[in-house]
Amino acid sequence: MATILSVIDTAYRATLEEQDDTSLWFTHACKNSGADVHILLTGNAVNYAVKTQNPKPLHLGTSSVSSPNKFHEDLESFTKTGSKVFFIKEDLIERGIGTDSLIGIEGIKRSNLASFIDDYDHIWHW
Amino acid sequence: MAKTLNILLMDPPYESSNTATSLRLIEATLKKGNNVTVFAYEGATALSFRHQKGHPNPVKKTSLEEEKHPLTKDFVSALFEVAKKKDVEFKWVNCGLCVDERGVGDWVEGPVRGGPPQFVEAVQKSDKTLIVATTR
Repeated sequence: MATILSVIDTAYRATLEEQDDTSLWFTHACKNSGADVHILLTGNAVNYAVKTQNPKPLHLGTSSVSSPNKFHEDLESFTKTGSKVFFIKEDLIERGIGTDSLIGIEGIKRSNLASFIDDYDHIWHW
Repeated sequence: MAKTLNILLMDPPYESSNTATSLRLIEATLKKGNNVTVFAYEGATALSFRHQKGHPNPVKKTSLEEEKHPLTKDFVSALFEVAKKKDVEFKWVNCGLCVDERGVGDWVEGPVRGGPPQFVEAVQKSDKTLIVATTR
């Protein structure tokens, strides 16, 4: 079976109105459909792994989004399927985020990205 | 021997050059005698919406007929025609949940409803998969 790395780079794309990250949701759905897929968080998406996220509900007049998404919980749920989640270490450092604030996922150095990607048959860049 | 390109589109019509570029890539792939599977995700499900309508251009003062405003549904139909002429396989799958969110379930002839299972199947059958995501 082909191995797939889903690289999530664009973060918080319509996530309030969707109550999900569409790329993360799609990747998890593909895993549930039998794909051998793993996730690499890059750029602003590294923030998805911060475990203290607590997004507040959105209210617009009488309409509201009462269950804004908690991405670290989605990632933890994804890892429970047996798939892995990685992040780029430098992208975390550039944003002042400490590794101790993340859920338990593995960091890779940007300089190792090429060889890391080479281990996969398909790269999905979101 | 024909190869198969699997491509996921995400941008809605008239929002990004990703769409035109992707459709050109699909056309070129079909014309070279290869197969293509498209998975229209999120806003891209509106690309094949049957009820798209052209409009006049008040800035250029052109009428509806003069403007001949391009419609992405026509692009999709044209790609099916290209595939038919070249006798290659062309599939266009619209993400069902995305369609329902947007109310764009009435399409031109050709596209079918599907979801991640159909995409995974296409990944396994393809030679290459290309994700063309919205990046903003």
